[in-house]
Amino acid sequence: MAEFGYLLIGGVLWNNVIVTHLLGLYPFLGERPATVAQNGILGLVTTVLVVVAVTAGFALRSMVLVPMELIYLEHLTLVLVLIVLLAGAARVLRRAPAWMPEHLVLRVSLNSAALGVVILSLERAAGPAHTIVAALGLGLGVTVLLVLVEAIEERPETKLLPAWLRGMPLQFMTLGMIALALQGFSGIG
Amino acid sequence: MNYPLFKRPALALLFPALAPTLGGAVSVRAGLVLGAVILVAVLVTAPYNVVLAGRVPRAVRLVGTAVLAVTVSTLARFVLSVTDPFVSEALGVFLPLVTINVVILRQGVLYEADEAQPRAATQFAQSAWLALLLMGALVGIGAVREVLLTGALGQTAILAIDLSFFGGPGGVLIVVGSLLAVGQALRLASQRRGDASHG
Repeated sequence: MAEFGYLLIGGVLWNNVIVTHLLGLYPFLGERPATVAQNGILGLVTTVLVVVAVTAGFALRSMVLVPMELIYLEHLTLVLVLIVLLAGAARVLRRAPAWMPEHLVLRVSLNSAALGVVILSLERAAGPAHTIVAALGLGLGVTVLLVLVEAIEERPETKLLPAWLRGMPLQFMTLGMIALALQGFSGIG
Repeated sequence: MNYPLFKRPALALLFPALAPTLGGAVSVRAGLVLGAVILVAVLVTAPYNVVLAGRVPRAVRLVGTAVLAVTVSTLARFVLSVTDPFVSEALGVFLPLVTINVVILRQGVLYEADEAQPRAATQFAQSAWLALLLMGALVGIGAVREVLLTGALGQTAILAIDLSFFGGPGGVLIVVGSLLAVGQALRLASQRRGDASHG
């Protein structure tokens, strides 16, 4: 049980994919939802999709790819699994309520965190339960950083900063400092 | 499609297209390899999209683009594991993420193709030009990180002090943020000069 807790908390803190691999920077370099809540929803939808994709990917790998010696098709399989899941999510969320971020599924699909987390979870963990918990932790890690950066940027004090620092430069410096802080947890366990 | 990103000028797609593989550009060599794989993938997917534009729905073309791009990245991994195992190992998760770079670059161009209907040759040239620019950006970032991590560029020693802290993931985000701040400051200053000369 402690192992699962370590995987879950590690994914959020010291193994956070944004911090360790610089994955999932798309919302900061491209398009990000406008509010903290919408960023949280984006992160949670990404997490749910990643966990389902990892479960399907693990099953396909252990039942089809490894027995048939087709492991070199793993990345292609994972991309196809994600595409099917994203198409399903787009259908389900077609009539999404107004409080949800616009173009939610497109935002998830253009974010490398989704595919990156699926690949890393399958590479790292041993059994199915470990893989799913690792994916859940890594997905939650992306959610936490999205919410944190938006919450910092929404604070009124940021309006006092010089114009040349606002926007993307501030986001990157904030992310960098959060990354350094999170790396400080790496001694746990 | 009413997505704001795809309404931006094609050149503005470079920033979001950098996102998936930014972490992989840890040296000039790694940046060059990633950029070259993206260029090949974009060149492979361009004719497919140009030929099928208007005949096949955009969503179907997008799936085909992703499958072609991941195939190119898988082949690149095979070639690299034989020719340069060290770089192949270092790029790890970043090679399959080339798919997302290609989708961002191609989708932007596809959007423009659907809206403005440029000629096939123009679309092809624009895709290749964007991929080349992306390769340049990845090589540049790789060079900065290589200098920060090792204090040298190739065999040429550049830094006398250890700045490897700034080459790591946390440090490099601060460095990129600082470079962006300098760029933004210069842009705002030239804007102010322009406004003053007009006023």
